[in-house]
Amino acid sequence: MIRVEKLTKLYNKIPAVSDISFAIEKGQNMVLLGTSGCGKTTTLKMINDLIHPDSGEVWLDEVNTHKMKPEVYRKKTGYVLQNIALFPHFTVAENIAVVPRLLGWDKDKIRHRCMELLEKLHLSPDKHYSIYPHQLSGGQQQRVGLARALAAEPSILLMDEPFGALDPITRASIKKDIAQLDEFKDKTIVLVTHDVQEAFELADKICLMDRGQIVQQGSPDELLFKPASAFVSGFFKEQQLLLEYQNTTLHKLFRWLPETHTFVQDLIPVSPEENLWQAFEKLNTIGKTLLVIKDSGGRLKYADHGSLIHAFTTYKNTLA
Amino acid sequence: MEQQNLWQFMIQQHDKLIQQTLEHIGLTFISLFLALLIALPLGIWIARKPAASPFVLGISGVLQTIPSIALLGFMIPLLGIGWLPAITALFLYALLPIIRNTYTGITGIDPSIKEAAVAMGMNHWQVLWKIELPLAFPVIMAGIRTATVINVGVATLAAYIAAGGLGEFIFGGIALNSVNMILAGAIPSALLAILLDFLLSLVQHIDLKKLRFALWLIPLICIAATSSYFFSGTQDLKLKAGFTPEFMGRTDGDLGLKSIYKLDIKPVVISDAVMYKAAFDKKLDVISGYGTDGRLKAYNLVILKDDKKIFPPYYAAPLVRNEALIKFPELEKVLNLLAGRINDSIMTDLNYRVDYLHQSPQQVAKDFLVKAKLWRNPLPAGSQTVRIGSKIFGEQYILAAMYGMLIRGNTRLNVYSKTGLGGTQICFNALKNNEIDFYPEYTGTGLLVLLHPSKQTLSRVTKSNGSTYNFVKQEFDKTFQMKWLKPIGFNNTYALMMRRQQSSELQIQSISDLKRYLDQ
Ligand SMILES: Nc1ncnc2c1ncn2[C@@H]1O[C@H](COP(=O)(O)OP(=O)(O)OP(=O)(O)O)[C@@H](O)[C@H]1O
Ligand SMILES: [Mg+2]
Repeated sequence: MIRVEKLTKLYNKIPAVSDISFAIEKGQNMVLLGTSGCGKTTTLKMINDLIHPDSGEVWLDEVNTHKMKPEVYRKKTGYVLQNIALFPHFTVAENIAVVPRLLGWDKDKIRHRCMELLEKLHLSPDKHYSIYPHQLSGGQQQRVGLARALAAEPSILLMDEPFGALDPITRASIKKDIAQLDEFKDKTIVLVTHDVQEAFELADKICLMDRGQIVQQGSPDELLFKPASAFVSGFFKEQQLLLEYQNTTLHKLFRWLPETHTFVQDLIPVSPEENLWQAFEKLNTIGKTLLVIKDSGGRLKYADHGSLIHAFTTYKNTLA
Repeated sequence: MEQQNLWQFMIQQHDKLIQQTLEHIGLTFISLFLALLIALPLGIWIARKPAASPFVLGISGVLQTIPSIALLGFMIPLLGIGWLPAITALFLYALLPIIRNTYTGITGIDPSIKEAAVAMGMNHWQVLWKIELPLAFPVIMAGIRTATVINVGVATLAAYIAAGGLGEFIFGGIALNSVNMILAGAIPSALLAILLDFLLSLVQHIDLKKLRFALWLIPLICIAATSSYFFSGTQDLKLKAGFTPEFMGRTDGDLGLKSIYKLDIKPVVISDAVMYKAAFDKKLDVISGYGTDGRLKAYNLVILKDDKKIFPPYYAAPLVRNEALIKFPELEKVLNLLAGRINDSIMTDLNYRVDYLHQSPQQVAKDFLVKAKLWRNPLPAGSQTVRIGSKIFGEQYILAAMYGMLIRGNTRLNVYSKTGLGGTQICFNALKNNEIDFYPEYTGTGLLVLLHPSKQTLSRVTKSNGSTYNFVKQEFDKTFQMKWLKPIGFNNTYALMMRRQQSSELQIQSISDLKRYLDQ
């Protein structure tokens, strides 16, 4: 759990971040979103005191950080730096082992943990274990940076654009893998990005910032469907439809979908967890087909293009 | 031929060579070690406190720019002579490269890497030990290498202040014009610099895994090398002697003391510039000096009688080209006006006024001439000019000034003074090449430095001052077409001296007395 209250940081009397407050429940992912220079990194660094705020307070798991030594809680907080910053004189394994070593883990456990993380992050333990960071590609370095943050199984994870150096394909695959890692499941995560897609994919909660202030915070739905200001709607405008489709699961539309169907050539089963965008994709590729959706109670519903659009419009009206 | 000789010289002097090399290593390492102890933390500190860096780097930079000789000079009033001022000076020289490289090494690290270290939960010390020092290590080592090479070089100057080292050979060699001796000091010190630089370059590029091991090695080596200095040091004697590098290597110097008097006094080597003061300050008890040096009087020293006559007489007399005597027929008579007029104590007093009271040589020369009733107002000059030369020290300046005044007062010749002609060789060559007409020279110098007689001749002609004078007069006329005019009277020979008080307390009046006292 992270709670931040009225954080302010001034540079030369100009606020880089002013009066920011938010709370993230245990196990939740929050994404800090915003344009370049809006204060995302500054905010993230103030959470583990890499930057000392001029005013405001931070609680980690209900303890005020003023009452703890920063060295202590930093070890329980994984941090991925925006510019990776691996230790150039340490091998990949040594980089990953930094925090476990500080915590005094025994050698075998550290070694085992390094191997495990390399594998999980699609690096080769044989090839990469004992080489130096400069021998890695940018994307590989970024993954080592992630592994370093995850190594000591921190309960809190702070990540500053952890996928920035990856091409879209690797990025997508890594993100998918990572999202499924046990490591991420029950962690409280703050993730900084300016990639809107990424934000919606990974966030339980989004915090949109502009010029050092929070413009709106809330669930992805809230930001998408109930923008608090013209800035917010403007921010998503370019990808509005895509985001809306991606952010709407069939589960949400379930009530408005028909229970019967007329003509069927092909019936394709889909999970209610899949979103509208994925549903359209399936309909498009397969042609004259119908989707069949089964909810947890075992009820069946059927959907084609028309009924999906209809259900979505109705759903949107209920939100407004 | 030269090689062979150098090799023979080094073998013959191997015990001295080994001792000087050990001293040299010792001086270099003690100072380096101390500098490390101070400069590393200081460099680390200013890397953390950028506000202090210009100040600290400025001060150590200024120290670096002080010429080494001058720095040693400053040390003497504060710390005397010997290892303490030498090590202090070397220490000060080693500071800057180490501080600066530690500072730039640490501040040059990508700040985001330090930030990552902090973000991982390292404390200040862990960031320093695990991140900053390892990453700055190559740069810091480069600074240590620079400091080492500088120190090996500057340590040669330690020989000036009785701290030993290979400078003893180098400066002895320069003073004696002995190429072998210079090389016997210069080659080992150059090799030492190259070797240490090479060894440190290995450390600099050492695998970071062995870093800790290497870091522990440095102080260990320093301590080991340090001890070499003190083990090689001279043991305590009843009287502490300090001789100039030149005296150390001359047959009419320390070698003569050893062979004729059997006097093995284990002297330290020290520069003429600080030796007299050191005797006065009781840092030294017996020194080698010149019989008419003004500092004898200034520091209340007495000359020990050379009862076995190992120091050849150094009677001063004008040395004139024969052609000049023909060209200026009146010259010889005028120059001989000074003959026999200045004895040892008068000359000592005149030197004292110039060297110690800082009166001008012209003033001192005129005062003497007036008192000796030799002074005459200058006559109106004609067109002919006599050129007077002198070597580069007070006594020669005074004599040149006197001769100038005598010529102007007694003839219609113009005078052109070319004073400060370096050492004997330079002055003599100027005379030979017709750049000057005459200069004051010493019979002993003429004999030993310019004529190089055989051993037998030498022992024959140094029996009495008359025989020396006659020999050089005859030889110079024959070989160089130059004439030694009549001696001025004083004998500026080498001499051993002691403080007046100690000499009378211990009843040491002659070198034989000294020998007897030491043997007791
Ligand atoms: N050390 C500093 N000194 C002065 N100003 C700073 C400093 N660090 C950041 N700033 C300013 O504070 C503001 C916020 O910076 P921050 O790094 O938090 O932006 P960001 O949202 O992370 O941007 P990006 O997406 O480009 O990483 C910027 O305007 C920046 O210029
Ligand atoms: Mg940033």
